[in-house]
Amino acid sequence: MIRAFNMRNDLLPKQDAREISLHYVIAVLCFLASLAALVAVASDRAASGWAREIRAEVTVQVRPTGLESGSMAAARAAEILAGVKGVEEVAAVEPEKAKELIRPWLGDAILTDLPIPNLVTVRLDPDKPAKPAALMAALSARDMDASIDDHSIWLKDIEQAALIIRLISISIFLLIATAAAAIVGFATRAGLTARANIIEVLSLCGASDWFIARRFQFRFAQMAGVAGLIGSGAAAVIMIILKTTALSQSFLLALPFSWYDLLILIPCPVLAVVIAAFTARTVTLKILGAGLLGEGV
Amino acid sequence: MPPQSPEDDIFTPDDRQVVTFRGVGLGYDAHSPHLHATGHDPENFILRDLNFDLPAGSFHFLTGPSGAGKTSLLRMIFLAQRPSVGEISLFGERINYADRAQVAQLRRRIGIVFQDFRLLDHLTVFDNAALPLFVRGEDPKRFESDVSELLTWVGLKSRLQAMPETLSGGEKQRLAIARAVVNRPTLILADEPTGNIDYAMGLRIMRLFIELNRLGATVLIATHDEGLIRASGMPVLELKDGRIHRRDLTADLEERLRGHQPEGGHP
Repeated sequence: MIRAFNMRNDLLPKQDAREISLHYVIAVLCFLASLAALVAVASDRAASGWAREIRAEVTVQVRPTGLESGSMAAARAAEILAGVKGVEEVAAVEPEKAKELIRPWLGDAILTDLPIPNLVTVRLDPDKPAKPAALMAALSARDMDASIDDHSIWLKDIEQAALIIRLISISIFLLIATAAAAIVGFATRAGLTARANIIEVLSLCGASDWFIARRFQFRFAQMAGVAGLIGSGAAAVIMIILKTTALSQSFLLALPFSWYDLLILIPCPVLAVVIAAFTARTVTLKILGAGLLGEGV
Repeated sequence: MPPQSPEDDIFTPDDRQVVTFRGVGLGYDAHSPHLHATGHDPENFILRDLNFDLPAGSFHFLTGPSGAGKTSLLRMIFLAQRPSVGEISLFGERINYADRAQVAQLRRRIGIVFQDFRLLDHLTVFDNAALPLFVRGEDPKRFESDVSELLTWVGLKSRLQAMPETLSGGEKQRLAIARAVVNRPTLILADEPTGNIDYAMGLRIMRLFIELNRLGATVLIATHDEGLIRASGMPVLELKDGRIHRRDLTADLEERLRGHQPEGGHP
């Protein structure tokens, strides 16, 4: 009984030591690409969280007019702002509390002589936040002298930082993808040269360049798939360890990973397969077309 | 002499001829160990002014001393080597300027037996023999029994799953022949196909070539085996000093009738 015919896999010899090294390199690249993707997603989430926090809070500084004291003016402003649509919570900052906040930076010496601003913290509805202009209008309507800080300077910085992290992560990802393509291209060249005798026999049996290219494409795609799974699997293990161990809690505050982030690792091996298949096919067709393996091929 | 281009050529292929050579020469560059289609000195030609036809369904032997250029001539026919000058047509198509896709298609109609076998060591005997069918995209289920039958015919029935490295020289030769004829090619080219097998098996292989020739295949066999040539009585193309000569068969026949013992001790 003849065994099942499976030349799709068998036309090229089984992997050798050179391909094991290639497996290793592709696995490492996939691991790094997966980490880059995870960091991009987590940093984006962190930046979004911080931005949401900042957007949901404004600080109002109230300047007392007439005989009204600072505390009374702050209390009145708080009362006015509490009635504005889109405001969730309002609190006038007690002068003592404000001093507590300033003390670490300025010290006790000058704190007694320093005029302490009368502040009101306003927490906005995160879904439908009140606009600073609406808050200002409400205060002006009741003859209050106030100014509003919506923390837009901080927000801009955070968004800029998040954008930079995203761009760096994407650049790393692209660099890794091109490095993987270059490595597969190099390995394909080496494979073609090492197996020139096999290719010559196939060619003399009437195999077209596409037929031969498909063999190399399949071989390298298969290899990249396995290596990609190993690399992305290793990245997933690292993430699971970070997520489940107490030691990394501070790390998770900076980069808040979610279990759903594991899903982003799925395309990594797929992408490795696509890059390897495309590169192997392109390089094979180019080398065969240029007749670089000899006149008989 | 510069190579001809399609524009300045008046050669018209004849589709009744499977192979046609017109003014074909093959030279090499004095500065390179490789044969080259261009940039050579005419004195460095190993093959000169070759003019011959192989009509459809014909059977020829190609003979000549070692280094005469038999293998180079075969290589030009199976498109592994382009001529330096002249024009070659194959199956009625001019092939000097054939592109790679055309070359692949033309080679599917040619069965080649190499002197050095060129078996794929990582494939079994069965897979090696079936290679041309697989390359053509045929369904393995459909050709499995045909391939087994052919391998049985060449005496490799018990070795279907063996690897080539475990075969003797003769078995490798028979496997190479099976691979060459498995897809019933229109043209069969063989370079010393009986060089590594005993006389009885040689005759058996020759019978296979003759049978395929009867079924319509054109056969060209390069060989040194004068005994085989004389035993078959088929026409001979002889390469001498880079040129091809048709051997006078009448003289050979007279020699045979006089009871001349063929070279190599064959009866």
